[in-house]
Amino acid sequence: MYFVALTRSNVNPALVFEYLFQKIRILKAYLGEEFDENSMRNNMTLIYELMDETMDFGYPQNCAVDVLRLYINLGNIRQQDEPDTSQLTSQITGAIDWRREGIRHKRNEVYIDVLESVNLLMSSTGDILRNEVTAQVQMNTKLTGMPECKFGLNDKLVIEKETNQNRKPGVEIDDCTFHRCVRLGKFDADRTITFIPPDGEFEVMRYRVTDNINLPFRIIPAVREMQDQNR
Amino acid sequence: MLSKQCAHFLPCSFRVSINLKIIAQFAETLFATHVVVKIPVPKNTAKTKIKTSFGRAKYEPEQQAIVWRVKRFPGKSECMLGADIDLMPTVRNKGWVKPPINVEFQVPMFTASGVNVRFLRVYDKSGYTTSRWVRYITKAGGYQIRI
Repeated sequence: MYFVALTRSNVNPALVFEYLFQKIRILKAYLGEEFDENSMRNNMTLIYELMDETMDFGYPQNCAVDVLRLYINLGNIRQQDEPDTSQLTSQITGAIDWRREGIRHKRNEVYIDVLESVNLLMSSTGDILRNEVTAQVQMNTKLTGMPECKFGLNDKLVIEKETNQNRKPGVEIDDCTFHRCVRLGKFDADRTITFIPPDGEFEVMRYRVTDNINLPFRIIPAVREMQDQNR
Repeated sequence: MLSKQCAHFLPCSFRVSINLKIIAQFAETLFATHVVVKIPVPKNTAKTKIKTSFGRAKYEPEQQAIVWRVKRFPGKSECMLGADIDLMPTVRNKGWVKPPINVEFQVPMFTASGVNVRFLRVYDKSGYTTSRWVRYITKAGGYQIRI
């Protein structure tokens, strides 16, 4: 299945792609991970409604699944507690549209998963041709209210500023991209990652490291081709 | 020189022997899981004889490779694989275009870049306490060694 977007003006291509990816994410959340043409056909009205909410006059609007769920539910599942419609406007137009107010959890928990993926290409003579790490930082938050989370990595730029000499050197992080809840100004100022998180699982950041990689495995192959003398 | 002559006249047979050493360079307290090493072998492989110091390895014709699986690979350990491969005689001996060795693995609680989370704080007006967990895992993306 392909998703295609048309535009009449010269728009930023990244915007179009981002919107299409968000759209796919929303459809996955509504129709299940493996939706197909059939399920799209059967849920035409729902998709029209989603289209209407996520795009207005050609401008992408709210693409946060949690918020969309509040007022677009499949018709058969009506939520027990009807959301306060007076809050709805401020919810959609407010600064924090990825988290609704009044979330409650019995236990407050935060999980951070750092998932790294090492890429290596070594030549037959043992030279490293390509070596880099791409990583995702996934979070799962179960927090009450509107909390502010803050975490820091052992970023080289921060560690070097600290006068403590016996600290391990930091890591040079090459590119990072963040979930839009992260305050970029704060990151630029002191390299801490500060945000009001959406509820549940989300990818908070991605980064890439190309220097000083600890390769988990070293592999030394020796291949010999020979003619069989015995035959 | 020899192989060229051979290719022109008679079908001939060859053997290939592969020795591979794999060293885990992370700390002893850690271990890697789901280690899979795929060692390519020529198309006309007839028979293989494989010895490994741990894990299980076998020739999988559909993958055209010797696939070596180790469920749990402790840190700072090393492991050897030796394989003798008998090749079927072929008329057109075009030589063997060797694809790279491909390795897959997962190492929990290890980051290849050395990144770690230094602190994690949660503030809320109501001032509740939060349980916090940080996990790390390193996987192989494209981890290839040419031979």
